[in-house]
Amino acid sequence: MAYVENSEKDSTRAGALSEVELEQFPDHVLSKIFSNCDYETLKELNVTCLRFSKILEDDQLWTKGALEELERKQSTFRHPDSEWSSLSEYNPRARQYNNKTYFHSFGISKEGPLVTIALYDRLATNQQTVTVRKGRQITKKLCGNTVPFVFYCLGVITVVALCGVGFAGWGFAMSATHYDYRTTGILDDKIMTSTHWFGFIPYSLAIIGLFGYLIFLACSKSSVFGVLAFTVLISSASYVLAILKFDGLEFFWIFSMMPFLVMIPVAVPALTYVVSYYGLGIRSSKWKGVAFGLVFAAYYVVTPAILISDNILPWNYHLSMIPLYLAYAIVSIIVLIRTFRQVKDHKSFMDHSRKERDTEKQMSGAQLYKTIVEYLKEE
Amino acid sequence: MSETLTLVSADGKTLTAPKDAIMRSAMLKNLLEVAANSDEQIPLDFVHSEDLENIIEYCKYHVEAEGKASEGDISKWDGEFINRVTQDDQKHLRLIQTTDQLQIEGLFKLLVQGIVRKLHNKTPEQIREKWNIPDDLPKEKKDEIFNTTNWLYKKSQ
Repeated sequence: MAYVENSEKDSTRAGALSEVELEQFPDHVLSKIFSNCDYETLKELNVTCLRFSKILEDDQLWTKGALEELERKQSTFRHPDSEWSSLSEYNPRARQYNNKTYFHSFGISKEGPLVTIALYDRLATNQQTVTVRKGRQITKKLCGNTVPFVFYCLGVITVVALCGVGFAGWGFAMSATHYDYRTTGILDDKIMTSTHWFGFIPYSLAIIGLFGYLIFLACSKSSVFGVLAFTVLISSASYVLAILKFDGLEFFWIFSMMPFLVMIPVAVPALTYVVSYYGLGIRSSKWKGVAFGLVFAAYYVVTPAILISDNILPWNYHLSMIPLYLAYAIVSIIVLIRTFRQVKDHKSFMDHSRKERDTEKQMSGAQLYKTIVEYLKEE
Repeated sequence: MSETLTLVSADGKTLTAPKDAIMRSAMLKNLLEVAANSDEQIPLDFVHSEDLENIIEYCKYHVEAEGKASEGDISKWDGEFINRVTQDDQKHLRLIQTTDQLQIEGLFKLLVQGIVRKLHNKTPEQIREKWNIPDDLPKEKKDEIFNTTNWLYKKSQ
């Protein structure tokens, strides 16, 4: 049975018995091999010989390796030794990448630049937003994916609802019994009525919830919320211990003050942020950062001053409050340093970003990324 | 007992193999469906006998192991098999060429991965030396690559 003509037979037989060279493999075989190579190997193969270089002009062969490389770079992005960690290292690369006269950033030609630009745009986007996307990082760390996020939202809603019910009940109980914390013991059996319990139980749950949430924040990896939460917890504990030492101020009153103690340090800077951003129209992150930091720090300076100047409290009360005042002072210094450092860093990133926008960019990073995903799907 | 077929290699060696195993090759499967009778010899003028033996061994194992051996066992066997047959670079390249022509997807993939491993962590010079490749990339082309992406080649330059 002759499957191959005689004249061809001899040549194929000779081929099977002669030396085979990698370089002479058909295009599809070389493409198959290269598509399995990592990025580093592709780089070396690209300058090995003319044939390999020609095969590697196919963008698709680089995509997998380049994406893996991108992931690797992103994972080491904030490492001090990373080549992408400083702007001085980043800028020359960005310039080369932005130079549209060269379409070989990854050794790619033809349709290649699209993928190349998209990849580098993602790198560039990450680089410039690395200090300003803390909020998103925190949300990501706290929430992770959908299920924890739902629990997180439910927890917040529960705490807020309990707080509302608790405060309403507490207010109602106070007004119903004409309670005055200076003169009356609320824990006195005669006065502690079912009206009090109506407010007291959900209120207690709300306080527990609030503190649970703070502990959760303090234990999270987020530095800003962690510092804030720890400060509030330490200062609250210090406050409780200090007041419990003295007559006239009793447990329930202290307990009722907790939400204010917890909420005010958070609420005041948050309000400043909202007012400056939406009210005064300050859109610059620099000034928002400064306003936020200053108000935050001021709170921790002003609060001890008010407490000290309050003649109602005895002098030795202030002595016992030293840990609280110290905590406030330390936090105000940390916040100020962080604020100005972040503003400085952010300013250079913003400048760099502005320059980038002025170049001949065709699409935003998000658009490019969308395009590349669609492009890859089509393939 | 399953039907067997006789294959003749380029160097004239005759080998028999179960039809099920031979059907692992998409090219031979198509051929057998269209033209071949099982009692005839099938000449494979592009296959070296040594390679044919290895290919038959691979196909036979996979036919027998299918549904019986675990995935772990099969991949362990594949690993040992590939290590054995790819020790010699020339034989490795020949096998890639043959499995590509015979269209045996699984084996082709394993052999390609073997080549990829051999190329990994090698400089262009080492690749050229190992695989006997001429340094025929024009200087202008090399310069263009280095100039446009010099940061990519920082370490190797």
